[in-house]
Amino acid sequence: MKGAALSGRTVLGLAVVGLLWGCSVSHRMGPISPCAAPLEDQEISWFGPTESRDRMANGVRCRTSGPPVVIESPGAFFEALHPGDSLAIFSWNVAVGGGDLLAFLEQEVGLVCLGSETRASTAFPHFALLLQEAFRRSEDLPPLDDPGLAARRSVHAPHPRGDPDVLEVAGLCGLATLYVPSGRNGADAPGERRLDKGNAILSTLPLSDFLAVENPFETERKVSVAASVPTPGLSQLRLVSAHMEVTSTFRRALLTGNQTRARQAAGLIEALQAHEEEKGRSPPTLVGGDFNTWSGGESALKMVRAAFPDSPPWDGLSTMGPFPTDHIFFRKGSTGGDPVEGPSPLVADSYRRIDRRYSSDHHGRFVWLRFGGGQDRK
Amino acid sequence: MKGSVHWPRGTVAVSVGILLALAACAPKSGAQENDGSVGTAIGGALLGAYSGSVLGLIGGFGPCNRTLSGSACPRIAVAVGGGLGLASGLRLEAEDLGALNDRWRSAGYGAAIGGLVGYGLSLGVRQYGWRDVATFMAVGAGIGASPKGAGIGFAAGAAVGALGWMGLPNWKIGDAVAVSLVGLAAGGLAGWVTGPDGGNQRDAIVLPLQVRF
Repeated sequence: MKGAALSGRTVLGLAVVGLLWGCSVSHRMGPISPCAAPLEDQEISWFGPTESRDRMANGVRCRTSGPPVVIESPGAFFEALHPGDSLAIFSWNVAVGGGDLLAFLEQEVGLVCLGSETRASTAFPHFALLLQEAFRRSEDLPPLDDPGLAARRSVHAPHPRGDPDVLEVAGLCGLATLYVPSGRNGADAPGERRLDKGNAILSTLPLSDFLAVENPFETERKVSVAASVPTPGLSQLRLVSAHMEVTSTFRRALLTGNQTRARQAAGLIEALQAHEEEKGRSPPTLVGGDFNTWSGGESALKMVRAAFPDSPPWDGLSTMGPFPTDHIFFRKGSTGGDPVEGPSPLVADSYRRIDRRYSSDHHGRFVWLRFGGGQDRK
Repeated sequence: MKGSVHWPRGTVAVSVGILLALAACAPKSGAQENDGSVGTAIGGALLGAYSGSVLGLIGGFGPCNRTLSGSACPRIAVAVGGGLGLASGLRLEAEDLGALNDRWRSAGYGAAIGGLVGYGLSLGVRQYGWRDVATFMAVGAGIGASPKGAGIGFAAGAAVGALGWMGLPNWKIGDAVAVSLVGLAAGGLAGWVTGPDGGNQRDAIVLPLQVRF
């Protein structure tokens, strides 16, 4: 009995203490090969974790989704930004069709979507939407062999105007679009078109310089997306729509010391920096997204704020139930290693939470960017 | 992934393994026994180190997720908790072998209850599978080895956290949970450090508490 007791204690103790000591938040980011190319050969730069565990898990899920979609120029007529103009940025998690995007555009932005006849709203003549959990219906998605790889399809009441997917909304509103799916949304259902979901950027300004960043894997593949828009004076403004994990498995949380989102934030920052080094420039960059944070003081937010030091202060408001999940960050950028001189185009006191949720489980976030020179115009 | 066909078998195997190991580690004994050996001393040190490590790690969930130190902070929390637990386990073995044996037993109860909690959560939380049930068992064992202190600490932490959540504008539910877990860890470690008196399980109500953060 004593021998059994000793061996039981030794095995149990050594195994678990060793396991705990193995806590790791390691990740390595680098250029990766996408599992699907965009439909019309537009070039998207891909970065992601290069460790084999992350690559395998992300790769399996990537193959369940369809190709990214890039629409570089708006289908409707929107004026270019001039000096003195402002650009409105909205960041919103649309809860995989739960959020009524058309109602949001009509009531928050003042945009009535009429296809190529769409005209700019007077309140927000220039705007960009950074969307998380957008979805797309497609008959071109591959059959799903393992239903366990599909994220649960959101259940929501049908909207009065149906449930247009993100590409249908973009077409109806004539907006430039970048949509990169991260994985399958729901298992295949007989008689229904297949769905994938991911992040998107919709804009009244033309989009270029496309980037997709896979998160270091925790429990779901998530892909942050970035694109640049032309602005007066700054030449290019980079917009990033980011989405991080709400929770990892309990085992992973224990093994990483609860560093799930910190690991993913570090990965995103590294990928953005690596992309800048590759391009040889550090443009002004705005990051909006659903960081799925439980607290306003989380490491992930601190890391992103440190990398984006011109960010507006957090207003202390929750955006998803009691959780402060959604945020916007900004950095003026640098030239030749020196920060850009002059006032920030970000209008800090314009940063706010959008009160209505439009049937999503998240409130959106909003901020103005105002570009110097010329008369003060919207 | 949840829904894997392997999970019931895996859970059963891990559950039985952990329970057998803990059962083997808890020889029957009375109070204030002091006939320890090298084996019981090692056992006391390991149980203390394990429980302290788990408590340190769980207690560090919130504070470490507010730093920019990456994995260094959880490692320090594990090291501090493990060190305190190790020393306390050795001391407890020397002072009261019966109390130490009670801690082994309550660690077993903690593992069993942790497994039940984990299983229940795995039915509702899509991300959880059998490995997480096993992890809940392992954490339950660590907390269960110092149940009285952990329970009191958690209750105190939860009260402070709830007050902060209601009273401070920038406190969110995550901050309240973090303070609760700090309380749990501090109370559990205090239960180890105070030794036979503070951690005596004889009259304690065993309340293995599992909170995921």
